[in-house]
Amino acid sequence: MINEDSVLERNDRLTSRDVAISVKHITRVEGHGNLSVNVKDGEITNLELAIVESPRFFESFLRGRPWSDAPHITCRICGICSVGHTTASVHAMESACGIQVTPQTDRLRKLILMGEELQSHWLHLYFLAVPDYLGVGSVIPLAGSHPDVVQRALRMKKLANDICGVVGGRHIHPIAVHVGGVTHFPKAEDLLGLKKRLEAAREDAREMVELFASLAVPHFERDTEYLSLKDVGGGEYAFYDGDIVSTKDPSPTPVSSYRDRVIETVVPHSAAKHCRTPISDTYAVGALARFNNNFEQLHPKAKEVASALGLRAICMNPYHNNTAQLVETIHCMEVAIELIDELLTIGIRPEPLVQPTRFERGAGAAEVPRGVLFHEYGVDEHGTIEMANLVIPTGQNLANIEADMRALVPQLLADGLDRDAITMRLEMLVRAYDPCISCATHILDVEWVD
Amino acid sequence: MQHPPVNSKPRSLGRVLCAIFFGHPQVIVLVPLSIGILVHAIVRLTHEEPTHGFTPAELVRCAGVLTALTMFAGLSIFYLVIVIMGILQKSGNGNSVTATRSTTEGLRLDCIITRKFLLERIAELGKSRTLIGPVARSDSHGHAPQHFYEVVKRPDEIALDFGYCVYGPKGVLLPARETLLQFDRVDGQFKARACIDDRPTAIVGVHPCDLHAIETLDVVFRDGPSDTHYLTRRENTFIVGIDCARPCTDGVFCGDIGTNLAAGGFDVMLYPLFDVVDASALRGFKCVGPESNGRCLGAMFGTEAGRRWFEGGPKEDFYIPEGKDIEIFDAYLDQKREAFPQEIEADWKDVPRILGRSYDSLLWKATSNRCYSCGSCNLVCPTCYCFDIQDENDLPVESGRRERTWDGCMLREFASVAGGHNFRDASANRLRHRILRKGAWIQQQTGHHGCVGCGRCDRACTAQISIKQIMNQLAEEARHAGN
Amino acid sequence: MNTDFETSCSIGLPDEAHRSSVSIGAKPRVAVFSLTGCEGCSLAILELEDQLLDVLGAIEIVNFREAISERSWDIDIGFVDGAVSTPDDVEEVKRFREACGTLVAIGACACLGGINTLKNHQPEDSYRRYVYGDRAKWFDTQEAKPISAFVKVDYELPGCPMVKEEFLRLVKCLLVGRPFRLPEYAVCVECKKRGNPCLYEKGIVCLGPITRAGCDAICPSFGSRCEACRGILSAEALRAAGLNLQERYDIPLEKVLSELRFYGAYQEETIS
Repeated sequence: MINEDSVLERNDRLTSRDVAISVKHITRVEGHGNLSVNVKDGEITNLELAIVESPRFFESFLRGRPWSDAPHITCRICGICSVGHTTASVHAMESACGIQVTPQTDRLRKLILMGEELQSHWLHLYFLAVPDYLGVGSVIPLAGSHPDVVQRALRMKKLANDICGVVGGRHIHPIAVHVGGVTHFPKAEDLLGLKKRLEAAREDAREMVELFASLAVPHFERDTEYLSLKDVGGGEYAFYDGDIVSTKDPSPTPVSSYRDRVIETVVPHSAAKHCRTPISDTYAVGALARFNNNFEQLHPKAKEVASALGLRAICMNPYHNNTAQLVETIHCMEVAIELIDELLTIGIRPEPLVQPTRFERGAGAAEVPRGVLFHEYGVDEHGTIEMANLVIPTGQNLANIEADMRALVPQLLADGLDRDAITMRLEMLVRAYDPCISCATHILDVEWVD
Repeated sequence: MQHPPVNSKPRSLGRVLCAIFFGHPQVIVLVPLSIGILVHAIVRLTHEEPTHGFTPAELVRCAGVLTALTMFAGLSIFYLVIVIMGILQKSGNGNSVTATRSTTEGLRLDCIITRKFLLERIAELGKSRTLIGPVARSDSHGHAPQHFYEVVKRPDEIALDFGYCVYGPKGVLLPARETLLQFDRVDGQFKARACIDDRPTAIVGVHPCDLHAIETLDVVFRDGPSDTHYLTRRENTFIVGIDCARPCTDGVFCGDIGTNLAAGGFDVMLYPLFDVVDASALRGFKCVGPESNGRCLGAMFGTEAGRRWFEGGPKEDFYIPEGKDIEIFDAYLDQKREAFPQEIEADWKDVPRILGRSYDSLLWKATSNRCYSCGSCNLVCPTCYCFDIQDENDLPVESGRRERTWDGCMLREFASVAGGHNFRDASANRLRHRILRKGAWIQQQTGHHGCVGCGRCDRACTAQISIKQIMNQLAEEARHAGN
Repeated sequence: MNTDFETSCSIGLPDEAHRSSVSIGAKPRVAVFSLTGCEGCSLAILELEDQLLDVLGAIEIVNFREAISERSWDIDIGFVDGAVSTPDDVEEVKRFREACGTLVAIGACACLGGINTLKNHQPEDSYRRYVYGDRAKWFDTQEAKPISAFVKVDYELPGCPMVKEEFLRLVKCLLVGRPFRLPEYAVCVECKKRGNPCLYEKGIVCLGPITRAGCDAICPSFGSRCEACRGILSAEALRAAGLNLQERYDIPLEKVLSELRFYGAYQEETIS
């Protein structure tokens, strides 16, 4: 996949042992990222996934705003994962304000989060990843060559958006999710309508699984620490909340102590912070990390699909993040149906927002489509935000993507791939992580590695 | 569009007897009186021995007896004739209805029903019509629930004891947005198809002010160039009114205008008589009694369709009031009259004249300073009928729709015309225009109320500008000018 | 009743035969660009699911980093989301302007500066250092501004995110050559048309009365106050806000303006 802007430095002496790749603004990812790789005599002399997205300063402009503004400001970090940011934000702020929300609120929030996981995964799989496997530049040519695929993709994406719309008003920057509860109470007939469409979408999902089963996922494995939330006490596949675990350290750590498990550093070539854990220089978060840590809690139908696609925990092939996303969509559909059933059985009634009982410091987390997301706020006695820290999934993955590429490039060179093929494979690797670069470009409270 | 009022209808024997004894109070006086005199005369005649002829006193007594006998016989024959005529005219089946004594301003109490009867009838109505009624809506901010007209599935969702609905029922008849026609370009030529909504609908629970407002809308959209979209919807809308015994909330001035009572504009009007009046005086109806207050409602039929609607209900829960029962209605209306205080410090009839002289008042500028020009007052007004029309293309762009949507004269662009001139650029001019339309011009143009005193604009105003206060200030200005 | 009209009505697209009988000129070449922002407005285009294929049938997308790999700089209509907040952004937006026949700002960031402008009210050194510590100098930044501060903008579609239906309306207007205008009335109008309870009436400082409509009052419809993401309607409404909010809620004007700064709706130099 060569872009017009890809500056491919012509080198007459270019051999398989000398490669220079520079891709400005990788396409079909959210945000601006540049990729540059230099190989000389088979040795990588330079390898950078540079985040050139303009710095955003969200942590900074949260300061001085009232406590209740936090989810509405932070959801604007990213258009794709705004429900995820909202969820982590209300968790953190409710922890800082001593708020315990009602079971109805939790169910509605879980439902809208399912909607976003579905929307984001389906968007990524169909619009951003599938074109690579089918050898086209985007979803647009597919409208001509694979109209059924495109129509199915649009139908499924719309369903996911509508779940977010019914609960929160819209998917991009949801309205109704507030600190202390929700301000909109969906009508039973709207939920019932969603349930019927979700049930009908099982057939679409089956066809989608068939499509993906036919695609050749590149072989590449690297020993990696996978970190995610886990519902230690209950039996839920952790999206909404849980404790921090990883494949290399399965002992659970509460979210309030997230700094014990996640260490952020600033690197010069990236407006996003890089992250490490106490035991690994790089680690991965996202669908594959969740799958690796929480396989047992997956819905049986999702487990079936995983085994049909040959995905087994613990999988260390980052390209299989797409497969894990697909498995998760099956799980999310079933969970959404169950949540709707619960809401309809219990009956939805308007509830006032729960008000703060204290103002202090609090952290919260959620598993958003691209991995675990941490928000932490400090609130002064007047309810004004005085401190904020956001740890973004893509920021956590960046160092790991670079590490993957360092391991992958020599393999590809050894396999005799040319520069275009290598570029394509590297871009696919970046896209497999589904990076959300807008999200990643805000940072704070760095532990300096000097 | 209005059906003719219901005429007197034949009655069953039981009801006729009830009507005789309860519908004509003189019977209650005359019959016992006649019997009393007769008994007295017979006692005297049998207990006193006749001695020597008839004394003048005895002659008088005999005359009294004869008179009493004649009166008794005469009255008996008179009522017997009525009974026989009643039997001869007796109708077939169903609940039949009589127009009882006419009271205030064309209002009648045609029947009394139980709430059970009403719910059963609403359910029946819902089989053939979309039901719309006041529903209480709570929010997440901990405020008291407010009522809104919403589509309901079950009759018990309708809150007939609502205070006021935030919006009137206007939107049912004149939707905030509607597609008037669809166009399509075929072979280079445009074809249009009208989009007429003729789905049968019923609004259950409309207060008198809103019934008056609907009458204004009816005239606006019927007379002159008639509006098929509105009129079709209106013809297919069944309206059940519900009277308010007292002001629904502070600050309404329907009592000043007289729009707190409605004699038309509905198919059936319900009266919450027993919320107000002690029903123990009412006899003959099992659900009416001191311990069952509030469980029954009075009703008046506005149309033949309304009457037929009630005829199909369970007979045991339906009762035609007679005689003294009517006093309950009168008492209700008396109490209602007292419950509505005077809010406008002028006779409503004088308001057009007062407004006519207000054109140069300083009030307009002083008040409109606060105005956001947000149009909330227009949009909640049950008589505001201005609209805007826009064409919207589809994709592909060869087809499209012509859409109508509510407009409002308080919006800055309302009086903008081609070329860029705005006839009412200053918000003071827009405010004056609105108040004059509401208080005078609509009445002059249509013969119906431009303002029904519902107070919605005052409540909705984001700048707390009050039409009532404006009218009172102008009335005061007029008084000063008059001195 | 006009008997020339059919009285039935079925909403929908004309059938295939009708479409093919109409000839349209060449499809406009369309690009979607992003500056400093969350790219939610670009994403909103992809969320037009029901109309997306019709949109793609009517226009040709030639440059859209978030969705396609192809890139061309021969552009009829360019849509830009995000604010200008770095020297790079300034160069980019000038490049977009040169390349595009018609330039459209989409979203609060591109039209007003958006949420990025919150940092404008803090000293630059403070916010940079707060986020990036003593590495602050590594990251270029400047006061966040709408793109109209740097280049001529032909149309603006404000909102956070932009209203995708409004995007569709603009595309259709451009296709048929009809004038496109934003609503010149407040959010209250659409809120009332939707039959919402008034949050302002309940004592919540909803910015609906001073905010440009076009969003179909989506926030109040979902129980939340209007936050003025589509910008201030008029100086007249802003003045009224100053008077009313102080009187009714005892909120000083400075606090009102702070609320209005959420999306950059209030900028001293833009309000006359």
